[in-house]
Amino acid sequence: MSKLGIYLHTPFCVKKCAYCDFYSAPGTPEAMDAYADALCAHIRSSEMAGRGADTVYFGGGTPTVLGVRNLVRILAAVRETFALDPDAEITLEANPGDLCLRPQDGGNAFLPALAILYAAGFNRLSFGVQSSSDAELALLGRRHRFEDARRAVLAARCVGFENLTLDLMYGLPGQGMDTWHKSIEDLLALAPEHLSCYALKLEPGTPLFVFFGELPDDETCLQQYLYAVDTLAAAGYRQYEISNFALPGRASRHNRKYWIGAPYLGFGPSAHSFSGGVRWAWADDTAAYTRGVYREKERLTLSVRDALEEDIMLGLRTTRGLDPAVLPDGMQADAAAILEKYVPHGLVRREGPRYLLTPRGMFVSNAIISELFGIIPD
Amino acid sequence: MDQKNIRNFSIIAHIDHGKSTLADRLLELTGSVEKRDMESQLLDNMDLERERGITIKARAVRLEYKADDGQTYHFNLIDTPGHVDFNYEVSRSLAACEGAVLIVDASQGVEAQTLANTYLAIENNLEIVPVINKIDLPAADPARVKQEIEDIIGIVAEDAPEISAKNNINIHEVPERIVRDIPPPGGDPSAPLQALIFDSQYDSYRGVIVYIRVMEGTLRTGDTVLMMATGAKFEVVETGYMRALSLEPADCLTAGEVGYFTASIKSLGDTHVGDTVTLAARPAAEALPGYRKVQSMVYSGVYPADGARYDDLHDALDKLVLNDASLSYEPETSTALGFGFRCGFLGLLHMEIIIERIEREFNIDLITTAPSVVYHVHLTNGEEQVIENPLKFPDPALIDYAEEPFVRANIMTPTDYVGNIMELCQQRRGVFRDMTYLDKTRVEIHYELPLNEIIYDFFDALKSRTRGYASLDYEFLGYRKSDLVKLDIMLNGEIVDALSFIVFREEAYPRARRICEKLKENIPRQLFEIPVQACIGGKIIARETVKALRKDVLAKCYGGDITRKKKLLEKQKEGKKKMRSLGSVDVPHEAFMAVLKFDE
Repeated sequence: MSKLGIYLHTPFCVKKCAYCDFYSAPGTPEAMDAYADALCAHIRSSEMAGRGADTVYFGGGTPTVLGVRNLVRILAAVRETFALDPDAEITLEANPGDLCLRPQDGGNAFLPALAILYAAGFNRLSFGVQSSSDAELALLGRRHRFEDARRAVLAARCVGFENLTLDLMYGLPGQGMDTWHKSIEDLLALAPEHLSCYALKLEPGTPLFVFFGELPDDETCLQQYLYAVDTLAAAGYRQYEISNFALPGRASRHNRKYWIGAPYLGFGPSAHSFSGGVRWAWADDTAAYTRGVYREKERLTLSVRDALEEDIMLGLRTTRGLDPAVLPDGMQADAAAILEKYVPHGLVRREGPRYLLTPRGMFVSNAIISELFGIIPD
Repeated sequence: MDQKNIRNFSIIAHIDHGKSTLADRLLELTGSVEKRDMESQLLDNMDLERERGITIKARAVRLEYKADDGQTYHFNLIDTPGHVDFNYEVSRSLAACEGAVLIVDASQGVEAQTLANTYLAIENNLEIVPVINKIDLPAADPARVKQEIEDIIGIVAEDAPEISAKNNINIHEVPERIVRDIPPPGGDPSAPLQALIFDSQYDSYRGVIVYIRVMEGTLRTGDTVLMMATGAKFEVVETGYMRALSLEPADCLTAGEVGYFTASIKSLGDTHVGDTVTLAARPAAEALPGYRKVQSMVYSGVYPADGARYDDLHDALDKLVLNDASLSYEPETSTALGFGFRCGFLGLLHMEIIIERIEREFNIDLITTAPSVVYHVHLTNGEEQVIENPLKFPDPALIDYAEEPFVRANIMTPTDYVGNIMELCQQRRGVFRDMTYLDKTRVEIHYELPLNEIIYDFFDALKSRTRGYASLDYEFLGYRKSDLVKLDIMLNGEIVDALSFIVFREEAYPRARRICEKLKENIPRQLFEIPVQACIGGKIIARETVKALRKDVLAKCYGGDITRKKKLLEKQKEGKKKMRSLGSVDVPHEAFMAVLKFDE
């Protein structure tokens, strides 16, 4: 039986970023302690207790606002409940600006917080650096400056973290090729093992959506993206998914589970799970969750069609690609024809029996994938 | 009923001048409809008619009115369609009447359409009863409007009732005027039968219900009737009167009366509007004058958006034609659109109505090709071809000359806009005929125009150049020589046959440019560049490019929320389904319609 990935959601942020529409809100220290209690209890009550797991991912929100003590005891609850591999990948998303011990946890120093987390078994940190331009960071509503990020990375290295991933954003309002080049250069100088590059998407209801009219046009975004792909490749980072790049052997094992249809369990409001052909998610209600009411907001048993769509989508979004032979007989020729059509336009390439999206193709992957969805028989 | 107590009349009015509202008031006043059954504008009983506020098909109803003189009168109100597309139906409805109530809006005055229908009424020797409506509007000027009626139409309007149909002001005067001014019908009940068909309707139980006005003689249940134009014979199953909410059987219909008969008639094709019904055993010596076969003026390819629904579309047309003999159709195939039908319509409004009814009542999404008039092409070998489909336009090398239909357009407008209108007509290849001052501020302009120039967007252009004040009416004149070419549109290097159309040579260039621009706007970006070209023969005369889509990606897939991403892709797939794949290019339905509308 394949090993589980465990996802732990923190629905708190000190302050919401200007582009974020994920589920999170500010919380008091007491609320966070109570939330951590509920999360631990939920983990311990899992129906899949005892199963093997090999990745743990603390995401959010901003997990680090829970405080070191809470993070450590949540991880302990995971270890107690699941048979966690000794070499499990344990990732913590961290805001470069606030990795510190809360006063009630006994301090305000940067190094000890990271040291405690490292000692507790966290071995991969994900820093939402986003940009090396402080102007862009301010625009995004981030609370850190690039210098904070640089220091956080250095501190993590000092403590012993050997696996760091940094987030970068392009397609920002007013972002030119020059600041984008500089951001990549500055982040590469920090020598992370892994990088994620996301295009800013204006989500309705976010402050950025309301405020900014002028985003770089699609052509500029494409050029930014292609520059990143090329530059990161030259620096030894292999693109293994639309937005993800890693040094050899450093692709995120947890995220890979999402792409290959491996099982994962999510805990916390709005967290998603997938196991045994069923996807489910917990309701976006932190207050109820904290009281121990674990209500599902959706549950979907994958139909043959759903499964097929996911194979297509997840295959083409990654370097796994799509071999038409895995599709039902009736679809193979149509799928190959659609993909073949884009080969001369440089959007798709062939590697043996598999079709893969080129970086240009990845940038229009929605159109290609939805076109393939269209040939799935009803 | 004694002939002297019968009044057969119709109501003539411009759209929005209040015809249907007045009809409703008369129905109420005569107790023909209980208040609770009153739907606003009852006479227009198709949903579509009620929404558009216009009458599409003529309807008739018999009302009983107890007049101030103490006698009871039978009013036969024959409603008429109010649009130029249905001119012939209007003329036949009027022929069934002795009089017409002319409604004129107290603020708007006489409009071209009103005038056209009034002329038709006068031609049919009808007594005109003018009524000034909407007198409660702030802008109402009944005195001016009455003067206008006298000046323009040449009838006495001095003592015309001033009413508000909407607010029930002075309504009573209208039926009294009908009794007083409209003559009773004549005709000899014992003469050979001559009955005029002015409308018919298909009923799935009884077959065709034929609406007639008996001019001479008597029609009884059980008679065998002969349709004089088609030669068809039927045995009459039922005769009777049309009431507001139902049909009321009666033993017979006699000269002067308006009513219906049924005779297990399976198809409207046997009951042409304008035909004369007579008795097979004792036929009339001659048919009533004025009959002509309805001819389609505008043709268009009609295709199901989803090719799998061809059979459904076929069924829909079969059903619609039962109730609308002026619709014609035959199967057609397009490389771009697959299987569909070439449909013939009376005009553009008729076309829009049919398309909307198919989409609404039968729930089939449609794609229609550019409406086309019927061209006559004379080949060098002496042969003449009638072309109602651009695809059949012959090779230019074989053409001696081509002809296109012309119409005489009557436009009424405030004098301020004469310049604008002339400019428009000139642009549309109009030939100026004359201009008459109706009064100090209004003129009637006559132009001869190619019908083709009118069917697209002429009316809209006219309205926008006159702030909605001008009104238009037109009649068919005949065919005239014209320099015509076929314009083809290519997407990604392939001709899209459904977009081809025939155009006056000098207009081909500007129109080609505009169509390419429109297509560029309406075709969503796809993953590679798409050239949009227009050509005549093999020669490209306009080109645009739909740039390639560069970015269509959801980068972040947060916390394993695969479902959210997949839903977005599903939605995108659904959007794509709404498009037609032409060669390798996806074209949304709107693009087909958009190329037909040319904004100025």
